[in-house]
This record gives sequence, C-alpha cells and structure tokens, in this order.
Amino acid sequence: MSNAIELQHIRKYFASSQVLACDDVSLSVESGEVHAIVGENGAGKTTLMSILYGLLTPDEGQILIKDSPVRITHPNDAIRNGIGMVHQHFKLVPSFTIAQNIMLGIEPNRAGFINVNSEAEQVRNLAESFGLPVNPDLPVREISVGMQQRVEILKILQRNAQILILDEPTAVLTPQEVREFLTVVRRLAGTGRTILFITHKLAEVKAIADRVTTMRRGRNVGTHFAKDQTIRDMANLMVGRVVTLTVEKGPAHPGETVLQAENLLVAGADGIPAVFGASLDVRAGEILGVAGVSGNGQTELVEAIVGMRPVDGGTIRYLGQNITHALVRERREAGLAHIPEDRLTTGLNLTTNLDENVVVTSYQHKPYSQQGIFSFAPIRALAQEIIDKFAIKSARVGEPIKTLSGGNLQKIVLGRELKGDPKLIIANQPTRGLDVGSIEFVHKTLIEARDKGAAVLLVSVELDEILALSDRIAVMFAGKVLAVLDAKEATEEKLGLLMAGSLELHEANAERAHV
Amino acid sequence: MNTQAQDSRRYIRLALTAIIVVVAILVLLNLPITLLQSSIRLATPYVLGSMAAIVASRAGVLNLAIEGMMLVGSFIAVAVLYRTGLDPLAGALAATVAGGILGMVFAILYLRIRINLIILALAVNLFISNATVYFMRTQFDAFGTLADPSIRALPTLTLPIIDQIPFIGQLLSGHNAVVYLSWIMVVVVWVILFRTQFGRHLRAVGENKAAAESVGINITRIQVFALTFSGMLAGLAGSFLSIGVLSQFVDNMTDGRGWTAITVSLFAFEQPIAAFFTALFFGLSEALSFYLQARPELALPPDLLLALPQIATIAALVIVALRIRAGELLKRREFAAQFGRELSKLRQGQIAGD
Repeated sequence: MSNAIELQHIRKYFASSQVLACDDVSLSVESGEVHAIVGENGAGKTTLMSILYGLLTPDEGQILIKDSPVRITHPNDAIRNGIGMVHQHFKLVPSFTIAQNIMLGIEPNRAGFINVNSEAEQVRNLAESFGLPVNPDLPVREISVGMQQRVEILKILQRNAQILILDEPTAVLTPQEVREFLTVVRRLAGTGRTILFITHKLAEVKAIADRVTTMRRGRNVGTHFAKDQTIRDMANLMVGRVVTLTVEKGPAHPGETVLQAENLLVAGADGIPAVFGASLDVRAGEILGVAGVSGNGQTELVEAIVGMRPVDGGTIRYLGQNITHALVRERREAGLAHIPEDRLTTGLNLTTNLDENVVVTSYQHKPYSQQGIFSFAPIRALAQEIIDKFAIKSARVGEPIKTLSGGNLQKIVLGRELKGDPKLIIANQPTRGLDVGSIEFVHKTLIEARDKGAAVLLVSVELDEILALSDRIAVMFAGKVLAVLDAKEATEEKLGLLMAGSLELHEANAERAHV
Repeated sequence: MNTQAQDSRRYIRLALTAIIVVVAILVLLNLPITLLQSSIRLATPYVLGSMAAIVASRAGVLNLAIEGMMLVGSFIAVAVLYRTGLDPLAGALAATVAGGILGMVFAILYLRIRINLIILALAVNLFISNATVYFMRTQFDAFGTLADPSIRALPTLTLPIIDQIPFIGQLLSGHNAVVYLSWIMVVVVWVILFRTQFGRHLRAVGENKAAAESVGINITRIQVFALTFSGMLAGLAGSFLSIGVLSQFVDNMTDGRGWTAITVSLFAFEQPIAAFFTALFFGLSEALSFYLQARPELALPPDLLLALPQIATIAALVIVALRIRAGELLKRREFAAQFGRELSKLRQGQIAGD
C-alpha cells in the first residue's frame, strides 16, 4: 500500500517559550487509513499537525505526499496538496449561512460577483454525495455544535481534501453525537480518504483507528495497530510509566447535608435564565458529579453557589443556613472552596507571583497581615508549604507563575483552596487541559478531601471523570437537573441520553403508552 | 416555537415603521423646500464618512482616524486648486487620492508595525490637524483661512429629466458632482459588501479572522484594501466641505464630522442603505441649525441652535445603546412567554428582603 503522507525527521523549537515541541518525529500514514495520534498535553501532537497543515514551518525535516517531497508553508499549500484540517475550535463565521461558510474563499463567481444559486447548489450536491445532509441557507450561529462540525468537514471536502486532519473532534460532542461522528469518519475512510485524528480519548482510538501513533515530549514513541493494543498499553506509552486508569476509592460515608440548592433561577450573561429550576444537595463525605453538555447552565449554577452571580429565585442553604445572597467572602469564611473553571483568569492572577496567588483568599487574617499591613514571612512560609505538600516542581516562592505548566498551575489552585480543610468544595472542570499525570493527581486530591469529610460538587463535561469520581451523579440539561443517579446504576449510555435531554421524551412516551 | 407571537410582533413593528415613515414624510413635506435641499446637500460628508466607517469596521478595523482623513481631503482639495488652478473636480480627485494614501499609511502602521489602534488614530488626527495649519502658514501664508478667488467651488449639475418633475426635481437636481457621487458610493459599497467575493471575504475577516485565515484568505491584504478605500471615501467627504459648500479651507474644517460619521455607521448597524438615511437625518439637523440661525424673529437661543447636530449625535448614540439593550429585553420576554408559569413559580421562591 502506498503512503498518503510521510513526515521525516520533523523538528520544531519554539524559542519564545524554549520548548522543543517536535524532536525528530517521523510518521507515515497509508491511504484510506484512520490514523490516531495520541499523547498528553504538550506532547507535540497539535504542533505536528499544524506543521503538516502549513500553520507552522518546521526547523528541520521534510514532508512527502504520495512519496514526493512537498513544501508546505501556508494552509493554501496544504489545501493544494489535498490536506484539510478541522480545528479544535471551529473556524466559522457566525452570521454567514452554511453554504457561505463552506464556500468561503472558493466562491463561484463571475468577475468577482458571487453566483449565489450555484453556490447553494454545489453545497447541496456535496452534502448529498457524502450523505451528510445540511440546510445550506441556515446561518451558522443558529445550528448545533454537531452540525457545525459537519459544516467544517464539508468545508474541507469541498476543497477536495484527500487527507483530513481532525484535532480533538469529539471533545465538544455528546456520546450520541460521537457515535454518529465515528460512523462518518469510517465512511470517509471507505472512500479512500486518509484520516488523521488527534485525541486523548483512548476508547475512541480503539473503536475507530486502524493504527495509532503515540507521542511523548515531542517524540514519536511508537506506531502500532490499534487492535494489538489495549487502552492500558496506550496510556502507559503516553505517560512513559505505568498509570492507574481507574481511580482507587473506597465507599463513601455520607454524613449531614452540607449544600442544598432548591429551585434555583439564575440568569446567564444575556439575561435569559441559564439555571432554570435546578435543585440538588451534596452531603459531607460524598462527591456529587454534575454531568452535562457544556452550556446547559453548569457554569451559572457554580457561579451562583459560590456567590459570583446573583440568584433570581430559589434558595441555597449551607449547613442549614440560607446563603442565597451571601457575599463570596462570607461563603469562603464559612468553609466553601472553589476550584474555578478557568484557572488562568478566575483561578489565578498570572501577572503576579506565587505568594500573592496563594494568600489571596486569606490575606485579611492573621498571621498574613496585621492592621492592614502584610507580614511577608508567614506568606512566604505558606507558599513554601503549598509547594512542598503538592510537589509543585518548577514553582519558587516569590517568583512569577505565568511560565508554569497547566498541571502546576492547577496544583497551586488546589493548594490554596484545600488549605484548612474546607467543608464544601466546588470543582468546575478541575482537569480541563491537564495531562494524564496531573489528572491523576487532581482526582486523588479530591478523593482524599472527600474521605476527610468534605462535601464535593464536581462539575465536568468529561463523562469518564464523572463516572470515575462520583458517588452520585446529577445530569443537567437546559438549566435543570434532569435526574440524580446513584453512581453504581449510571452507565455512559443512560447519562448520554439524559445529557441530550431525552428523559422527558421517554417519560412522555411512557405516559402515552399508559393512556 | 411561538411563531404566532413572533409574527404578530413583526406586524406591529412593520405598522410602527409605516406610521413613522408617513409622519416623517408629512413633516418633511411641510418644511420649506430650501431647507430640505440643503439637508440633502449637507448630508454628503456624513454619507461618505459613514461609508468609510462601514468599510473599515466590516473588515474588522474600527477606523477612528476618519476625522483626520476627512481633514486631509479638505485641505488637499483647496491646496491643489490654489496651486494649479485646475477644474474643481481635479481637487476632489486629489482629495480622494490623498485620503487613500493616508488610509494606506494608517493600515501599514497598524498592521505591519503593529501600533496600537487607538494611539495611532489619536496621533493621526492630531498630526493632520496641526500639519494642515503648519502648511497653510509656511506654504500659503494663510492664517486660519485659505481662500483665493482662483479657487472655484464644484459647479452644480442639473439632472436632465428629473429636473422637470415638480418638487422632486427641485429636491434632487442642482447639487454638485460629489453629492451625486456619494449616492453612487452607497450603492457601490453595498454591492461590494454583499454581492462580490471581495466583500464576502472582507466581512469574514471582520467577523472571524481565524475562519478567514484558515481558508487561505490574506487578512492583511483585505484590511489594507479596506482601510485604503475607507481613506479615499473620507478624503472625498473632506473635499465636499472645502470645495463643495464653500471654496476655501478653514482651520479644523471638519469640526467633528468624522466622528459623527462613525456615529452614523453605528446607528445604522453598519448597513450602507440604513447609513444613507441616517446621514440624511444628520444633514437635516445641520441644515435646521443654519436655517433657524438665519431667523432671529424666532428668538431661539443661538448656542442651542449651533449645538443641534451635536445633540442629534448624542441622541443617536443613546438610541444605539437602547436598541442593543432592547434586543436583550426582547429575548428575555420571548423566554418568559414560553416558560412564564414556571418562571413566576420560581420567582415566588425568592426570599423576603431581596
């Protein structure tokens, strides 16, 4: 079989961040194959694909397409060579229609004037020929995420791409959408197209890929047939040591109810209720996982509970006390900890140093300040304590933190928030963007806190994480908590259906059957 | 969902618009025709200026240097005519070219040398304002005003057939070439933005740079073109002030009209056709200011009359802000219409003392 692409000895060094992102990487991909590229964050997967797509220029090495060397210095070169890429963050123009987005840059025109009819016609034909139906006249801002992804795929197919690069394509999809997406990938491979996809979900690799290449610290540490490898093999290869995939945790010993939210009504950024009658409760010594496709009110729910967003209706009780309208500081003093969704803007202040970041929640107390004046020695001691306790490798007392990796930054947040054994921990996407090693650490830390008797509310869009950590699982859809399941009876299938909001559908069907 | 409510709302909105249009026409018909004619004429810098603003911001660059670009046009038009004694149209052309060059320089400084947009716009506006004064003094020995009998204003044109129609003919005929050109430019800008490949790319760049870049559109080229075109439109607008109404250049002649033009484009939500009508309204406010000043028998405070266009500007900006807010309210009301009962139930759970 011939090679669709061959990458030879690719090397890329980023001088600004002093990172050797690709270190002598060679890779060959056959035509018609689905080739997965896995690796931890910062392993160089995306850099390698950006080089192939012409977004970055390698320092050394060459690219061969169908065994002949090509120079790719711009996405246009890549497109000309039949390479298309679907980026992790979609690159669509919201006010343009589906047809206008698909044809952007290659509009059928006469003397610069666009032929609108032929445009819609071409899109309709294209969609039909690949069995990916779309309505060409719908504006992109009005369609679902899954549909937007379809538009992106059609966009590169319209450019006659024979090699499709997909960067974390399933990260934003519900389990049902993922399944549909995987069949589309299979169908495209069946037409002789080559699919390269970057992912960190190893189960998907097993399900769809012919071969899998694992990258670690900028190197290709092995290409294997997917069917010959277990998920554990791949994980070990990714991290370079043996990892425990399942989180070890004993049974929960739930105590009194710590957090009780009832019929919450919380407005989103546009003033429309984002949380719309959500109720849940978390007890001491248990982890309540909140699952859901992102954008179903989880962020607003968390912000309401921690006091960052006003509550329009309903009550929040903390250890029996009504804190619905309490200040953030009042809640924190009472023992609430918050690991925010975005550690770079909400969790930490990257423009200042480690000391200020760790003392920011307790600076008003002795010994960190007296009569409004900082006492620096105890602050430094606190910073050192957190470094030691959480093994934050490259952090130094008094030094800036903006050069630290995501995992180390999250350790700083954890260290600050878990100090003094809080009674309630709100963790929103605590492992987003972290590598396997750091994820393991965060998970262990949360379970330890639970075992010490803290109530933990864990919000995550990663189903695996929810299933691994939670004692009970609440599913949010359209601002409501649709159901709370015991973790033992929750399956990915069941959660997926709930996440798509289809419980109502089932109930409606059941009711109809009764009548 | 809820299409009936949406439909009825649309009818209400249409009816309201129709009523406003009818009232506006009735009011306008009762105004003296000379006032209307000068409104149309005085709207020209706003028409061209707002097109300049629209072209730039549709390409993703807020052109805050329109004021300076207009001023360059005003000055160059008069300077060229004074030095060469050519036909006034040559002055308008020179102003357009000068505005275009300034637009291109602006684009290069911003896109290539990456100077902060706000600082750059402030610098350009201040620089042009002072440079025109400097050149007036050193090159033309003029203080405050550059005027000479040899500088001719743009001649008025009579439109052949339209001229014969009563009222309309009086209204539309008898303006100078730049006025008619500004109307043509509205159509040209609309066609470019919404019917050509270049315009589609321009709007894509303005809305999502990454999307345009990923399909191989050259963003820098599009933005340089857009800013150059924007500068040309602004330069032409400036020439209207110096050789369209008068035939002289005065210190700081644009007098904030470039900023008003940006307001016009904002008010029209960057739609060329809507901007044209908004510009006419600003023309009316300016004409009205002159008209009432010339009537001392009405005993209106002169300061207030002078401020009329500025008051109109502030009113327009307030309306823009309210409209954006109204959009939010509307969405909220739609939600309430759909889930009203549930919503009020949840609201009642609200604790006392809130």
